Amino acid sequence: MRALPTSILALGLLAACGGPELSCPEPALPSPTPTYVDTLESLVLVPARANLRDASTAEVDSFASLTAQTQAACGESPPGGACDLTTLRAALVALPTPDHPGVFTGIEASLDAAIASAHADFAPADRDCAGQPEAACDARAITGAFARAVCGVRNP
Amino acid sequence: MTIAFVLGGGGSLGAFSVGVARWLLVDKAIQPDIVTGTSTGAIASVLVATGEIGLLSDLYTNVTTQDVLHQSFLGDLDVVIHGYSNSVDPLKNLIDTYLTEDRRQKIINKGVKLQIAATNLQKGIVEYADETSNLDRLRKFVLASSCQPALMPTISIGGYEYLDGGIMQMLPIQRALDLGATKIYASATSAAAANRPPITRHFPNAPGTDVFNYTLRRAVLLMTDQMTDDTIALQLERGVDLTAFRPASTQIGDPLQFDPSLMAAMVDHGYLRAQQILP
Repeated sequence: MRALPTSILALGLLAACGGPELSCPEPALPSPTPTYVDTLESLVLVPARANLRDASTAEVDSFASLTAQTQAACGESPPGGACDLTTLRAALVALPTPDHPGVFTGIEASLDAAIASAHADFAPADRDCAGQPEAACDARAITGAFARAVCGVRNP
Repeated sequence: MTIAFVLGGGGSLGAFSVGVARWLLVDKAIQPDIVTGTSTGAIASVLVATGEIGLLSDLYTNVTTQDVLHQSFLGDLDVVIHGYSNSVDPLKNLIDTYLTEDRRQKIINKGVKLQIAATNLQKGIVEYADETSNLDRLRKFVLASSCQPALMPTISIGGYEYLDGGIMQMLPIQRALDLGATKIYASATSAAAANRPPITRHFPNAPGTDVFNYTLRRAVLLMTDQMTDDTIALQLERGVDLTAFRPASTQIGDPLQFDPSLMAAMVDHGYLRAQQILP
């Protein structure tokens, strides 16, 4: 078995032991001129929330914990090591799925199309990434979508 | 192949079509050459034509009734006073905010043909505004296309009054065919007839029963559902290459109530339903 990177193990451990609280964004009409991060977040949100609706409470809770950890890392300056697309994707598919085996792989599989679409719409120079590496910027946007998905499913 | 996306009417239930469009545009990477829309589908078709599906889904899952309509507490009486029961000033502001000159130009630059259906009440025909129409006319057509009879005002454009395109064209497939479409992806907000169960509400004749809000709306819904069924059946019989997306069952929700959480569920259902119909 291949060893999991330390950051994924740390995320898993934090998810299991509790950690930062998930922050739910206030609902509001979108900006008529969305940025790259807004766009990627919105594109990821629909498949994430749609898949999450089928998940059990335990599965939603583990997804929420992972999201809160990544949200906290992406909120640091500079972003923490867990704020990374590859790390996030690996941690996502490693989450336990006792009730609905495909739920997190389904979300993970939808990311490529969303990222490709957002990348096609915004040249690198036009992305509001504040000088962050692409992997951190994308992780931030995707985490925003995951947070909105959890909040939408938990508090309809 | 000339591909058309056709988006039907249905008020807030149009969130279903947003989920369908999300699947087609992003996951399937299908780019339409033509986008036609009626009513709520007219509003959505602008952002489908620009390819801004993220913005569109955000809009449909955050908009509230107050962002769309100013509903009078007077009910039927307001129809007597004003001739309609809901002001659409908020919807006009919404359209003006999101349907900008930049977006109209973007549609032109992408080479997408946009068709917004509205019913000309004097001529008794459906007319269309397109991406080459000036911005003011295009905005008015989108607004008119969304205005249901009696529930909302008529919209004056060029000396005529217009209302909902869905009065005559609930699902403007034929317009897409007339413009040369050879492959149609059509999204309707009503379930197929076999998947529409009876309802339990009664419609008694008595004062204070708010006939405009219940009886008229039920009647309009029945007519538009039947129109959608007939349109799809006719085009399939004619051998049109049509993939129709419809909810698995009647969607829960009042078309004139814009509840973000219900609409988010409809977007998600549309996404998963499209995934099921066109994997």
